[in-house]
Amino acid sequence: MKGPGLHAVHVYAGYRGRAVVKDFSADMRPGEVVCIVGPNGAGKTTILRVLTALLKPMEGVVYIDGFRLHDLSARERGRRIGAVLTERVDPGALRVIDVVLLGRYPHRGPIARYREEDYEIAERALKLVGANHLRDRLFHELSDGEKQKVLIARALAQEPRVLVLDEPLTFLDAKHRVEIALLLRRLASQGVTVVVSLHEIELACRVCDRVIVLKDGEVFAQGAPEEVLNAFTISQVYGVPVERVVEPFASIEMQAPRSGRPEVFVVSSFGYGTPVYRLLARAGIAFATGILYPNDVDALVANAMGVEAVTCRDMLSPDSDIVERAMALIDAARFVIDSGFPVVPGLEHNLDLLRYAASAGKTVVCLRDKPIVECRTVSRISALIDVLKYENPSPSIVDAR
Amino acid sequence: MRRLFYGGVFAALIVLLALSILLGLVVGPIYIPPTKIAEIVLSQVATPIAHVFGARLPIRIDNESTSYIIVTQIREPRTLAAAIGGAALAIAGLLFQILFRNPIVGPYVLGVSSGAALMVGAAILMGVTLGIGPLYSPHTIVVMAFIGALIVSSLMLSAAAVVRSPVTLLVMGLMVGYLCSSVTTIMITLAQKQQVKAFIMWSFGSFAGYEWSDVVISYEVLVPTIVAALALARPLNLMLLGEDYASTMGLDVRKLRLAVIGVSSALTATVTAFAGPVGFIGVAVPHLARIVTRTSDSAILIPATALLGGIVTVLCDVASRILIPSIALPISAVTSLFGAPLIIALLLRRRARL
Repeated sequence: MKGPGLHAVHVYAGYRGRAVVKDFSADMRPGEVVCIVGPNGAGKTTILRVLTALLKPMEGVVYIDGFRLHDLSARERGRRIGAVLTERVDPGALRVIDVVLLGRYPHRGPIARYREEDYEIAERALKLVGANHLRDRLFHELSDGEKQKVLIARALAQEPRVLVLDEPLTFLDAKHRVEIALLLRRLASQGVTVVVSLHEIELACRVCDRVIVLKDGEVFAQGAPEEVLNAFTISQVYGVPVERVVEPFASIEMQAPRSGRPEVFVVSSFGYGTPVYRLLARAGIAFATGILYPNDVDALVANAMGVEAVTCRDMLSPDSDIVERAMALIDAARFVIDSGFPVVPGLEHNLDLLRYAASAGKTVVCLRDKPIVECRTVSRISALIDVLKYENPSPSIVDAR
Repeated sequence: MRRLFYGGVFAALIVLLALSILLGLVVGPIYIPPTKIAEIVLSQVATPIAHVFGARLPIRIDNESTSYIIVTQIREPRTLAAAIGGAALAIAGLLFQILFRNPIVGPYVLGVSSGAALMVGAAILMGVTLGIGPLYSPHTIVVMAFIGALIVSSLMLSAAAVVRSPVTLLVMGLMVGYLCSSVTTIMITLAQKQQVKAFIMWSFGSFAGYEWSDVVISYEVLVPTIVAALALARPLNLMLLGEDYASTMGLDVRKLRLAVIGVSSALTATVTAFAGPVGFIGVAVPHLARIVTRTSDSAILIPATALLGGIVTVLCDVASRILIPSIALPISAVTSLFGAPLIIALLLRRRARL
């Protein structure tokens, strides 16, 4: 029954008779990267323990290549499924190659000597994960990212049809994250079924062919990430209001500080405002921004932050009431920040806003080399905060600290 | 490069073991010249060989001389027993350390020695012999000790078949140990002074009481069991990554647990039956072996631990004879007195790990 790959059918699983995962059904086929996402406690690890036969389901069946997974012997399972777990590993004084060779156990058994072939397979696995230069190093001396690669190589030495990874990117730096994510795609293209739990949804969008969203132990949604990971699902997974989600990036933004009359107005466009928004939000400074086009990155982020963003109605120049609204916000503010947006046709209205602010006697702080109006130039974006807080301090901004 | 290193390490250990055994024959309260000892040992080895060829040895050895009897009937069995006993205890300790992923456990962690002590206590202190043999005979005590060790081992084996968590198993072993000790304490409280001393001397452990027949039985049981332990090397290496990882790599963790407890218990029970509980060797020698071989690979560690266990135990047995002139100390006193500081010093330079 059921074809190649891993197939879970109405699986209930848990501990001490209490089901943590309920009615989990999914088909994980060869050549696919399947991501299981969900908040902590949603049952990701529990279902992965079932899929690696570390846990027997209370009800339901898991099939691997047509066999009932939990009826196979330990060694048969080891030849079909490789696993990378969250458990921290300290094997004492073992070399990297020794650790990878352990993956040959299901093929060789307890007694038989390792053959030339086993060494070749182990070395090929190390090469595939980009860790062949570590071959003779001691495992416990490696960095977390290197260890993770070696553990993956060890699983690959089992020559598994299915590779299951539980949160393989946690504790890794950006370089190793990307490398391992790419590696998973490469393995899938070689016909391996890759099942991986992630809590980075942005990464799931890019890496996975299919996403299974778990919530409270149940499958909340499953399908292609483009279809499944909408703002609603993401807000459910992270447990944040749906407004905080930036849907195209499957990311969330912090709520910006609220104020009826923001003392800072950020003139921006085309994503130049986003770093300024985040900096101000972190520093606890309320702000408004404009004038943005509707699908500008700045508009997406500002909206997710809950900031008043003066936005055009369409992709043409702003109507006069829009410009007036922006001017009114500048009138109410003490500081106007020029985010350094490009001076290109279509953004003249923002240049006008800067000139208006200067003529209205506002302190203009600009983040560009060649100022457009008379302004305080700051070389680094983080220096903004010093200018806002300690020069010409306004009572409400100082309080925010 | 690695092959060369391990070849060198094992050659050195084998030479050291041979030297310690020789020392075990030379050292004692009665001085016998080494040349004389060499003659005796050579004649023991050469006589049966010569006999096969129908020849006679050019030198004649006096079979009834005091030195001949001391060497062949006292020092040889004792030293050979210490060598195999030390090897067995050290391997049992190593196996438990890996199984329980805990660097400070030893062969008695599951209560084997307490079980043996309980039965020996029953014999010495209460006069209970279960009809095995005459009261106070060494033979009776050996059998009683073995029964005690076996009861606790089988109890822990059946527990291991049902209990999932290794920590639970460890705690159960500790509790069984306490249970046995408490009964033993009650018996000590009720017993006569002289019997208490006899029991306490047994509980310190010693290789002094071995006769040739005991040595033969020990080797017959322990050598095959040690070979069985060697066959567990690769599964034990998988266990270094933890039970879950070992399981996903195709290891039947429960079977391995039963095998390890079975092998370790057989090793420990056999030594304890004849020698009583010998402390320290089983906990410390595996660390010494790790330091010497610089690896956690069980295929290297198990044989290295066996050789070092033999070396250390024979040397401690030698020291126990001469440390206080004319008094034979219990071996556990010596093993811990010298060994514990040594291990602390060695470990301080490296991190304690499996």
